[in-house]
Amino acid sequence: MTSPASTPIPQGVGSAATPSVAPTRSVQRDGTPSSSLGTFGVKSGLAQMLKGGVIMDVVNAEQARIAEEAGACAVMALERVPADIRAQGGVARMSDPAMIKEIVEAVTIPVMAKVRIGHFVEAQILQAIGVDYIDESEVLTPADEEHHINKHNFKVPFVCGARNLGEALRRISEGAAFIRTKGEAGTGNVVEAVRHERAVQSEIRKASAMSEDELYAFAKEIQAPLHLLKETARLKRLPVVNFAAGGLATPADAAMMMQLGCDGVFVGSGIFKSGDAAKRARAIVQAVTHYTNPKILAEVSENLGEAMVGLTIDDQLKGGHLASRGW
Amino acid sequence: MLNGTGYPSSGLNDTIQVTIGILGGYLHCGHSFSRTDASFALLPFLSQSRRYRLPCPDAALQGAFVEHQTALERLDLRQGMDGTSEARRRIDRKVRVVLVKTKEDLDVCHALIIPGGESTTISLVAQRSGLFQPLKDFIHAQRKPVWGTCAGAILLSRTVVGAKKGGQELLGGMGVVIERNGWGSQVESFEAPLQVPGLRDPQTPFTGIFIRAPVILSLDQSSFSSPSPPQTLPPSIEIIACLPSDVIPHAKPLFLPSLSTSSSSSSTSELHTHTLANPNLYPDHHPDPHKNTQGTDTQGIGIETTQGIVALRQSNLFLTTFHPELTDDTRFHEFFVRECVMPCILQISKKNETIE
Repeated sequence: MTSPASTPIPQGVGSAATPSVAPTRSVQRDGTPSSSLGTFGVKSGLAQMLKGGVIMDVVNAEQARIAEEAGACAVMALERVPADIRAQGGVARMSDPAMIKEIVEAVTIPVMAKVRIGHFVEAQILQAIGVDYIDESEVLTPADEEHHINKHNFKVPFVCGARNLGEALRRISEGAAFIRTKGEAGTGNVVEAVRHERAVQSEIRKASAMSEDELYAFAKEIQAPLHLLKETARLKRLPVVNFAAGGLATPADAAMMMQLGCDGVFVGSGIFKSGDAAKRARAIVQAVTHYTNPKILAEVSENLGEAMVGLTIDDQLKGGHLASRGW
Repeated sequence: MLNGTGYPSSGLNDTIQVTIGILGGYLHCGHSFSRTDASFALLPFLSQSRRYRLPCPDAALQGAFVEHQTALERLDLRQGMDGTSEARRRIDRKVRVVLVKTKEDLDVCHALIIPGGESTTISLVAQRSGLFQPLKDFIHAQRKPVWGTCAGAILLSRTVVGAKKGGQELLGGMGVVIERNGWGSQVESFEAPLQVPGLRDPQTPFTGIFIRAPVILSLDQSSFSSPSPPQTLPPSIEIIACLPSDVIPHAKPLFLPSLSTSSSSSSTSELHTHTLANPNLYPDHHPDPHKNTQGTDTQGIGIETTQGIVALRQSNLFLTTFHPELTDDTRFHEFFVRECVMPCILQISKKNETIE
């Protein structure tokens, strides 16, 4: 059930729940599903519940607690934040399940974890230990240079990165229930996240002004499934929740991404690589809440201590351009 | 102009516009769901409480409020009302939706919806925005209708099990003990068809979407947490909807020792059927549950039989552990307005008439 025709169109805001292709667990004796787990409705539904929130990268239970107390709506459990992956190099893989479980135990908010692009077994492992969301992430070293994970096969929902509308819709057609910009993780430099979000928004605006004939051609041009492109053009937004990620370091960065049209933000290295993590975490949550109120943004930006070290994004960038991973 | 009831006073012939607040709220410029029609007003986060109709407000609490807004705006309040009644003539057809971010927003609301999201985040952000005490007053002192979905349901409960370390602040109001993420993690999130006799068109099942949903562990009517006068009994709890017994997902061992001894089937990932053996629990055994608002329909429901309860009501407070706003079906929104909000508004408007 992975052909485009049978792929359910993911619902956006306020639209109907569509039956899912995901396997269901509870099936009545006569074979009619009476209760279904892992439907696209519950997968994208959790993302809807995260809107207006901040998702923070944490590497241990203590950081997870700080994030929860600051008001994070979810945490991303990983062994090394992107800044360290960049500095240390080598192959970056899924985190130790024991460490993820510890974080799941420590907090009540949803816990996400990263798998390598295309590494469906890492995803099976994470589903088995009960993480709430999986990030098929370009921050880790890709395991497959051609295929992404077929995310319809999982009960656990997936978030994926995208640089433009075509990439976002390809990921959604593979079953992603949640999209984020790729940005350039671990740099503390927001420029790439801005570029990706602006690209997605401008392509959506273009598509929504197109006639049906033009949409056929545009779908071919951006290599997106036509039915998802049509749905996006109709909704004038991505059919799933869209967050900003990759390089956000300050409350102002977060508020800027919100004003550019994101539904929420991921902050990776930006929090726990800075001077006063708890204070910065709270400030970024406040900034996402009051993202169009410069007075409040000014207040929360005061005395946050040292921000993470920023990197210029050029050809000499240590650790390479992570955003170019993914196909 | 406010009178003693806390509602804007309405003259005898004024139309009443039902105003329902949704806690949280943000809209993006240019998104398809930003509305600027006349029935919709935003009161953004501004110190001078001037009224704006801007597509870009200033603040966003966390959670899924746009979906609630869309559902409320689709309701037709006059539908189903007695065609000749005075009330029908005076009630404005459309609900006015206010996204509540400040106390001023809250003050103009007849009723409030607390949406899904993360209860810890909503509670922390509400506290930092100075909204927490006004919300408590709204529920306990003014006793206005409030509906909590999922995270909102947790905030309306008296006690929460599985709260974050160090506990979390609740608004309270309903005599309910609730367990956060009671079914387990996101992998256990599910959809289930609900038979709800109280809704319009009760034959059509309502698709309940349960996302890391809380579970009701027990009902306690004796300790209604609001300061009610001692001579009045706490309002009784009325069960609105239950999960069909054969679809209760059962992913973890029973949480009650008394049950695990009586249960031979408490292994994981098996369907669990015996906890709902009490037939009194099912609303469909009450042909008309609304006749029972002061009745005893929850008596005899022990702690072991509450697991399947997914929607209940106590006086003006209403909670659902699932997300009616994520479906196209507005029948639960209709139910809340018809059963909880309208009686309240009609009562107030009558009171105003006698004052005048």
